[in-house]
Amino acid sequence: MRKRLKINNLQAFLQELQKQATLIAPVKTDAGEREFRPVEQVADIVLEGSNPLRSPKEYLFPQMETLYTFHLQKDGKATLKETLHNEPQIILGIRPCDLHAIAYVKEFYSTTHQDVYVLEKWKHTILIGWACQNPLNTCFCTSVGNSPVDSKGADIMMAKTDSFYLVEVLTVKGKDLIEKIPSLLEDSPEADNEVLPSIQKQTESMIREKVDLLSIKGRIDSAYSSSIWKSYSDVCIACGACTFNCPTCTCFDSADLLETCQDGCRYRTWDTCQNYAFTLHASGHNPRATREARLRQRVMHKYQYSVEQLGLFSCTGCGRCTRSCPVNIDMVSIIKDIKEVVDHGEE
Amino acid sequence: MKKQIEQNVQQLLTQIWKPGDLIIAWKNASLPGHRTPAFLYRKEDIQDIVFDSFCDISLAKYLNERNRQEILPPHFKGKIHIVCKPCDAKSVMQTFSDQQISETLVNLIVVACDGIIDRKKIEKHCDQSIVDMQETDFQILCTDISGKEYVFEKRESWLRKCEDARNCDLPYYYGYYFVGDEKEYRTRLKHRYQTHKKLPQDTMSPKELQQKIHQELSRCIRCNACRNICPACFCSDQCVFDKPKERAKLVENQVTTENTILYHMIRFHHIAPNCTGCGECERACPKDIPLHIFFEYFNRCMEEEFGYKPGKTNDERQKLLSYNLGEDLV
Repeated sequence: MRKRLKINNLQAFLQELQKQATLIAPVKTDAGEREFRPVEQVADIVLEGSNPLRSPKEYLFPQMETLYTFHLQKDGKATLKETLHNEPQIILGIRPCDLHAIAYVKEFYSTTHQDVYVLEKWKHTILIGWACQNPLNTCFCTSVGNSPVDSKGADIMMAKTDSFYLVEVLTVKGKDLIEKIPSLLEDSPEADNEVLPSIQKQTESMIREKVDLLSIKGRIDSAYSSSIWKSYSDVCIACGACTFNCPTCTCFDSADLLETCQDGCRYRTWDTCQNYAFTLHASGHNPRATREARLRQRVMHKYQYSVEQLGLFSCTGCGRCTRSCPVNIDMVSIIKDIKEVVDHGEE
Repeated sequence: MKKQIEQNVQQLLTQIWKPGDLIIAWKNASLPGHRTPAFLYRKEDIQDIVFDSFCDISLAKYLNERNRQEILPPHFKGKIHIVCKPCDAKSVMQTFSDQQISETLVNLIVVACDGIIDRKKIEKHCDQSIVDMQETDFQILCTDISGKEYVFEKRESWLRKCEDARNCDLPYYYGYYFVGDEKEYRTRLKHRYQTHKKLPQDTMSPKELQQKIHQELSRCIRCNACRNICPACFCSDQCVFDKPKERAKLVENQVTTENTILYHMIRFHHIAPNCTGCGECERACPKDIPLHIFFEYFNRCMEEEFGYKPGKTNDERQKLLSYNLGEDLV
């Protein structure tokens, strides 16, 4: 189902969305950057401009989350209480790269094991995509087979044209939402078929470089023992900026926190494979003791291991790793080197 | 002027380089305005070295023991030639006095620098895909994907540490090569030298300051970039914030503002006697948290209370770890 929304009606449309559920959208913060935040006033929303550095993943898989609380009763028995957050929420303005990322996170947490915390949130979330017209020079979504207008994973897809917003309803969840909203939307004529392809063409022409990774999908592990890793890991300082800003990183660590002698909670926080302690065994042995091994693990997981597990690249080409790297390691040049090694072997 | 310096650096390195040596310098990264550390083992690679106003990364970090273990090939016997800005040279001095590396292993090459550009500020301002970033003597010229051109005055786009010359003084150490006109550099310093910059600590009440710190640090994602890029941080895997063997864990993993404040407070107190004020933590922060609130304040306290500026020489004893008989207690 495809609709049109008049430019003037956008504010009213957003207000209607806000009435339905918690609305999360890119908002200009006090620090002057855009971030996905629960919206207080619709006028704060900034949909255009570059993609925020922090991805909307955190509204499905937050950086820190209490899993359950426990309480020791006087009779010596313990009670557990699961803390599931399942308030309905609408996330607005998600670029296709982040839509893919959310689809991956959902897939990851429902295939190998069922993670109720993520899945419950996903069930109560409506994802509204936004066709990307402002790629940065770090973006490379076309290299991993995505496109700037791909609506995979979205319930509703929106795109901006000069005279109106295109609203494409894709799932039942999205349809239910749109039906609750009174008639702000107009029918869209046949000619609107061309809107998304033309945005796609325009945005793809703005993307810096395309490294065709699809042609070597599944064969990337042949670069495992290559020397390219060392050349990047020398520079890498093994912080976690890339993994903590990555929209598809799913690793976490859990721990117990005792508030009193009787009460406490188990929480989980994101963890990063770049940290030395990530794979440190209790025996003192560390299978990934060098930065080379850790950097290779991160890249290999994105392009090889997730393909083996789920058949998907877990990199969506959003370029956040390059944007946040303090020592300017560029993911595009890593994948370029990988492709070179896989295609032509080491020199 | 800049190109000349680049050539001089390359020329000097060609002269002093011997087979088996390692050169740590900057080279171009693939994106406009990005420079990345280069580790060069071959003479023909020397021509890749760049030095300009975009060389913001401090290379001093790569000298410490842990990093050398990662970088150097086994049985490395040569010397390490490291190209530094004067502010990084102070971090190198601190690395020497912290006994992370012996002076005999390092050839320090200090390059006259006239301010480093805060690239993030420019990128944020453009908020578009930048395809080209060039510098002239006084300006930065930027072109975005749509062909729109931006001009920034260098004077207004410097990193915070470059705004005055407090960090630019040369260390008291006679083992370095200086590239550029040293006399001219020193006079220029004298003209630009200013008193301490204003910090929120000067104007705010404790309550407001607490609020400000709370507000800024609530954005922290605990990615540890500030710790890992810090040339003064060399505890590596024994750091109290990781899980060191057989040692208490000071801060919970839980990412709450309280824990984050604790993390930064412990870190900045811990590095106070080593912190040269290079500002790498602030530059590395992906969330642009103004960490100068802490380190500049600690630097100032060190100077006012102890008369001590870390990184001035290569063998200064740490003021917070040493004591002379008869010395006044603070």
